[in-house]
Parts: sequence; C-alpha cells; structure tokens
Amino acid sequence: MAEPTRELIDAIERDRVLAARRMSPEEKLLAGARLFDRSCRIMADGIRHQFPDADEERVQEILRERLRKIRELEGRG
Amino acid sequence: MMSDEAAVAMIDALNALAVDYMIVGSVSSAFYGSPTAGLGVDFVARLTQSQVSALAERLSPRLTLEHPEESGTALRYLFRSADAGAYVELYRLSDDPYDEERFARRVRVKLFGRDTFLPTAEDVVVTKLLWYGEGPRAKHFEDARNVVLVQRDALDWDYVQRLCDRHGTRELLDKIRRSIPQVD
Repeated sequence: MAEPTRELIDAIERDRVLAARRMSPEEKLLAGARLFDRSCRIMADGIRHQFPDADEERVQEILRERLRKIRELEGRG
Repeated sequence: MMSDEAAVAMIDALNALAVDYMIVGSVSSAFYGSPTAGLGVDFVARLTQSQVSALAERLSPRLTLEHPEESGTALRYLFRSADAGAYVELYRLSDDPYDEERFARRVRVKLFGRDTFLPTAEDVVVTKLLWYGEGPRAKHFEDARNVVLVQRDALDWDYVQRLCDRHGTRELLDKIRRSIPQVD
C-alpha cells in the first residue's frame, strides 16, 4: 500500500459516508441504534470499573442517569 | 470485521507481546461518561521497531499494517482489516513531557471484555482541552465537559487545574465548571 496513512483513513471514512448515503431510512435508523448501543456498552464498562459492587440493574440506572444529565446540559445549549 | 473486533485483536496482541500501551480518543472519553458516535479505536504505545514487526506478524491476516506516518511529535501506524471494514490507529508514545506523564498515570480497566489500559479521567479532560485549544473541534470540548459533568466529584481537581494552567487551557476548564452547577 503506497498511499500515506492519513489519505487511507480519509478514504475509509469517505467509503463509510458513501455507504451511509446509500442506506435506506430504516438502515440508517438501525446503524444509529447500533452506534448508540456500542457507546452505552463502553459507558457501562466505565461504570462497572468505577462502582465494582454495583449489580447490573444499578449499572444501567447510573448509565441512564448519566445520559439524562448530558441531555439536559446539551439542551441548555 | 467491526472496529471493536479490530480493537480486541489489537488489545490481545499488545497484551501477548507485553507492550506498554493505553487506549485513547473517543473510547476513553466514553468510558468516563461522554457518549461517542465514533467508530475508531486509537492506541498509544511505547514501541520498539521489533515490537511493531511482531505486532504486524501476530495480527496478520486479520489486520494489515499500512505505512507509518508522522503525526505531530508521534509516529502513527494504521492497521486495517482485510475486508477494509475496520481499522485501528496505533501511535508511538512521543517524548512530549505531558504524553509521558499521562502514560505513566494510565490505569488498568476491563473494556470490550478484556483487561486493558486507559488514561485517567483527569487526563482525558486535560487532553481533550489541550486538543481543543490547539485546533478547536467542538467534540473535544463536549467530551471534556461531559466527563467533568459525570465525574466531577471523583476528579482530582488539583491535578486537573495544575495541568490546565500549564497548558494554557484553564479558561476553558473554568468555562466548563461554571456551566455544570446549573445541572442536576
């Protein structure tokens, strides 16, 4: 591969954008849901690290609370 | 291959080769509370050339090493999946004093079902503000703000303030802190 790395990354991102543009509205919705789910899984791993004694119900409760706080802050602009 | 599968492959390879490393970027800020829409997973590692070769050998053919390139004071390697659906970026630890400092403070965590390493929450805030100060991208500021919002009582504020003073980003930090108490 002779292309510089940055150009390759840009090309991969461009392919992803083009692929997203080809998606139907239903597929876009699903892709967005998958991204959100991934983000929540990473956030939940962080909560388990911070609160090692929390059971799964408590982890999900803290996750919902964190998302609520961020939505509220973003809502304030 | 999905990005997280690529990340797990990289974590397994780095752990197996006993390379000192940490995961940085949007995954680290998500771990501490800032949702991410990004797919990429970025690593920083203290690497020798022989370790780079060993990594490439261990990860092939699932991930292929592309040509390295300079990125600021660091060297960046791109590993791309065979189906081109995923990639991970691996940065060689630079000799910048703050890069060394945050690397030394990294913490062991469980992420993607693996034992791995991340910067501390304090260093995620400090780094995001440093990057925002160097070339404003709203996402960096939002990540710093969200981590402060979520972690505020758990943060070592003396450390965060001292580093922001050193980097000239204290004004940005204070702007974030002023916005936080209004929420709860």
